Amino acid sequence: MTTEWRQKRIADNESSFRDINERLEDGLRHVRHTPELLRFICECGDRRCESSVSLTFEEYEAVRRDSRRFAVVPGHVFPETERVVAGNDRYEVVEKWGAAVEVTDAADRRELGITGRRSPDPTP
Amino acid sequence: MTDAPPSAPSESSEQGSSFWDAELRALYSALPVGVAFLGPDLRYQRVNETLARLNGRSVDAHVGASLEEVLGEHAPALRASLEQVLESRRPLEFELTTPLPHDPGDIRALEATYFPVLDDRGEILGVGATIRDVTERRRLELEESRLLEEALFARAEAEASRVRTDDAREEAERRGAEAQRGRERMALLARAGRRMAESMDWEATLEAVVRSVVPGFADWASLTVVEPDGSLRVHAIAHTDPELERVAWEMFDRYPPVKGSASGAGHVIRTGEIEVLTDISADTIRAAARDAGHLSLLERLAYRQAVIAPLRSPRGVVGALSLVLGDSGRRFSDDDVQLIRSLATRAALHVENARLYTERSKIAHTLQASLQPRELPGIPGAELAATYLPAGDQNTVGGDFYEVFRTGEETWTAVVGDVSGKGAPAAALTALARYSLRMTARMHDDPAANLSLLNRAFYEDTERHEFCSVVYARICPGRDGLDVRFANGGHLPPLLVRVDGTVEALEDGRGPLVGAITDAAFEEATLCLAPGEVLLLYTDGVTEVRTTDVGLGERELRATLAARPGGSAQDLVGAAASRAVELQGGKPRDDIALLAIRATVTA
Repeated sequence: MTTEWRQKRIADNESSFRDINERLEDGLRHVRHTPELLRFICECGDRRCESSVSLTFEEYEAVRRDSRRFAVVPGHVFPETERVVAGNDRYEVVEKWGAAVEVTDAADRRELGITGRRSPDPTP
Repeated sequence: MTDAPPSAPSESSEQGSSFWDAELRALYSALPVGVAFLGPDLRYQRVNETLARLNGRSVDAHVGASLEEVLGEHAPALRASLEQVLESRRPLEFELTTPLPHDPGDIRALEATYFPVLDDRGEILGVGATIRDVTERRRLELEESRLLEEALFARAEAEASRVRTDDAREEAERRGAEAQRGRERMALLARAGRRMAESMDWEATLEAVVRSVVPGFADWASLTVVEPDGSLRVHAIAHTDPELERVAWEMFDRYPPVKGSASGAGHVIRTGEIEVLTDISADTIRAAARDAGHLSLLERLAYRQAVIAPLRSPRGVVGALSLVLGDSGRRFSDDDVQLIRSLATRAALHVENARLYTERSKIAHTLQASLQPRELPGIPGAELAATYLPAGDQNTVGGDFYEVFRTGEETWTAVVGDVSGKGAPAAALTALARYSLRMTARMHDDPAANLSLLNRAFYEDTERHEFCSVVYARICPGRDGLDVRFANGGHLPPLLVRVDGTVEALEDGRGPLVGAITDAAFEEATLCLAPGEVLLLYTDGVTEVRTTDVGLGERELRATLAARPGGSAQDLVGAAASRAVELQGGKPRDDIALLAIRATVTA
């Protein structure tokens, strides 16, 4: 199994979890009363991970400003394909690099096409 | 409910006011929401029971009381809001969750509306308030929201679970496919190895190997070899598309690989390093093209990925194996590259072995030829014919030999023998036997004496007491045919084929193997070969047939000879050799040597 394939598979998983969180966030915005910290699916690429992460709407949107970034449980990082760009005791923000970026850009449903979005902030 | 009348009324107006007051009081009491009226000084003037209960004091205790007196620590925030209403003359609505003033542990959700109360002239009379206790409704709403949030998260988890399952299945499928591809790689290598092992025809073999990787592992492939003069020649091409295969041939014919190239087969052969080209761009193609025609052909062949592996042999790089992926969208995996390396390694060894084999074959052929007479001599009154078929690979020198040479004015010597072993050692023994007999035959007439001398030479001059079997015949044309004196050193008995086809084994004159024992004694036998009769000397390769019937070969030889009464020496030799080869399935296990001496007319 090639390294490139594995990196893309991790990116695929993360993009899928991000899609799920997108729908979750959209649903939560229609709920009358929500707590300040919302539960999201951990967006890490580990197929076995069933964890959740807690973010506010604002924090989640800050992560989502960049197609390469994902919110994960602290430590759920694949250093061979991503690096941590922000974090606290509740979650870390990882940013993809290398061949995986092509996948995460193309899978970003907030941006049609394959360009992907880039946050002007080095950290969300 | 208590209130303070705003002014002194007349009797009728007093009655009306009393009625209005009673009506208002009833209305206040009936309202399920808290209601209050505060004067411009923000002191309570009227409240109903509902609000009084919320505030934890009686209706009467509200009248004239300030916000601070009623609400305590919560008053400042409300006062600011009410002052805003007075100032803006606009109503203010908000929700708040707050403990009740008289019971901090009782948290209530309230919807509050404060509005300015004006008289007919638009002057502020005070602030009206309605306070709705929505604690229960809020609790239900929160519960509903919590359940909804949980449902949304549960749905997200279910979707994530599907993603994980799909991912696991995909990986399992991929691993299965990779395992299958691994088996295919192993099978390909095994087939290639088998094919290379089975044949020394390296050109045909490697062409087959090149074909075997298309289309399974590449869209097209080619093999370039280094010619003896150092030039490069594309030897084999295979393409999934026959038309593009023709284009590839055209390209390599017009633009053959050269060692000076910066990339490709020539480059790999020069450097000896594998070249893996991924994502070959149009610019790369343009840079590699020698002219417009070359570019056109390169573009038609659609290079996208290429792996070019050197064929490294102990003598250097002997060629390059190139596998190319075009527009099929496939990519070479690391394992594919490893497969190509392995194939190239095997191909290099095969080419090298084949070339060594060819060289050895030439040497063996030359040596073999030197160990047989260039031509048979003419013997008056005799017709001679012989054949020699070495067994096995062409590069193996056999151990059988035959010889006919003149040893006197009217005498000739014919010898057929078989030395032990194969290859170079056997060649040395053959040379020893032939040249020893050639020398002794000129000094001694006696066949037995010649074999004795040869026996001594073998016994004393070979390291491991090598031996051989020899039939030595001295031939002298006579009045009634050919006078033959012969001695047999452990060899098969010569056959006498009479004119009527009768075949007789000549058992006389048999002795031990030559060289097997010291001081071996040999016997002489004589024979007069009448015109038309044939003396056949042969080696055991003629009668050795792989069967449990040990006598089959000899019976078949006799039958073959008997079926040709009066046949020429050449006929008999040819027929006997053909039958022997046929009986051994076309691949004799041992050398075949036959020498026929046929008496013709009296000399």
